[in-house]
Amino acid sequence: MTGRDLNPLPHSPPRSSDPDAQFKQGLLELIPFLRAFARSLCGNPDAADDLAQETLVKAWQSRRMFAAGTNLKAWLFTILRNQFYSDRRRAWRQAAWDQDAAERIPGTSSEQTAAAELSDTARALRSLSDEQREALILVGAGGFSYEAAAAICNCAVGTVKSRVARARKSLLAALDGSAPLPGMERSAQGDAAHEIMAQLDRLVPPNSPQAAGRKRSKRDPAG
Amino acid sequence: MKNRAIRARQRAIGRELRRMYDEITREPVPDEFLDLLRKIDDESDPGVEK
Repeated sequence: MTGRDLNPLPHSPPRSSDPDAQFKQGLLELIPFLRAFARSLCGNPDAADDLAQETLVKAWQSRRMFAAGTNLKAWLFTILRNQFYSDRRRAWRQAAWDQDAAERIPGTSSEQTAAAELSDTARALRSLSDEQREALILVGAGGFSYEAAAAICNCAVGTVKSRVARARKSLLAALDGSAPLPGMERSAQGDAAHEIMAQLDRLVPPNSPQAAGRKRSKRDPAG
Repeated sequence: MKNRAIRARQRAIGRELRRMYDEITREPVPDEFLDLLRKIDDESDPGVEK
């Protein structure tokens, strides 16, 4: 961590010899980075802040497991990332059995508007797979070594390297027009219903009755 | 695109990624985070002896 990273907040208490107080001070200093990493995973800023807060609580509860003197930032990023994927698995399971999933997909139209307002780079970033995006953010923006990023993502160093390389290639292709950016075709089409159905297709397992019903209706000529 | 041009584009994209990330890290921390940290050890913490 560089001196630039240490950006104590105005109300932060002075360094203390109490390990809990020290740990809390460490959390405080790293909040901005947790928010940045969370936003790159979630896209939605509110969901990202919820995730960052969940991470702080988890970290505090597990503070006895943190080895003092090791990289707290990497430790917190690991917790945040695990939390993100476990929340999402839970959301997916919920949607899979929920008959009213369509009504419960939050904020589709507002998220579309937000996507349209993002910069091209931010939009291109959303077009990457989660694995490629997280690897690229950790190494390319967060300043982590390939080794540290591999530890955070629980994969081999070579895997991180190839994900970063593929992410860079895909971003370039998306930005230079050889691949579509998410959000653009939506706004051109202007059809929220199509997007909701597309989201459902991603949420509902292909062999469920709901998915089968939609497939039938898709074959019907659309007016 | 020539290799050199590709590398230049990659560098520009890399700078933009860092800029976006740094911009978020420079945002003021919302009060809810500070409240959370302030309250965090008031809550009962089973398994952790004080």
